[in-house]
Amino acid sequence: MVDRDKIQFDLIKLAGGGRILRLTEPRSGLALEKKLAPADAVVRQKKKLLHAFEAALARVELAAA
Amino acid sequence: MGEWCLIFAVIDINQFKNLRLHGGFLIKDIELTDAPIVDAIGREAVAQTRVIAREFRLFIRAGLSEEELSITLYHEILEAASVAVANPPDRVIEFNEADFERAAREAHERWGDASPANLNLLLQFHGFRGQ
Repeated sequence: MVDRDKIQFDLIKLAGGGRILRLTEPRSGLALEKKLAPADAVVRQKKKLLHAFEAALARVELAAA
Repeated sequence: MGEWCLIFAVIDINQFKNLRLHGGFLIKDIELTDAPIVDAIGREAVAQTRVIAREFRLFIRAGLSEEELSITLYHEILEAASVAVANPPDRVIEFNEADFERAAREAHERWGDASPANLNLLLQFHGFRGQ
């Protein structure tokens, strides 16, 4: 149902300013994104978002079981 | 001479396609696009980098000056590398967006236009190791 090795990270630089980080798991279609806080470390924000995303993926797997 | 001055990017982006980089990264594809990069809810982007494991796919809006394109390439690759790995080097681990932009501008000033060799210098300079 889900494949953690295939998680896509999209770094999107908006024309109006700012940066979005979007995580997508292609098999389930689950996606989660966040506009990055400009003053905070990108790596730390990525780790937090990935943690939340993996929790959501686990719920998807549980629901499908 | 007239007052008009057209500036086209002369960086050949084809040199970056299927390019293996320091740190074990691969630029799988890179595209300059005239079409607006717009997502499902209508937000327009000037650049998008997709990271899957250590592979990168870049979409960059066409029409940037050579300097803007060079800085964008440095920025996208350094930030993508930092997001791609579980434990990035100490030099980038506290970087916010402004820090990545500053590092990209410094790279452009230090080494000139982005090129395969210069992208590798950038990654090495910021602590990415290995092939």
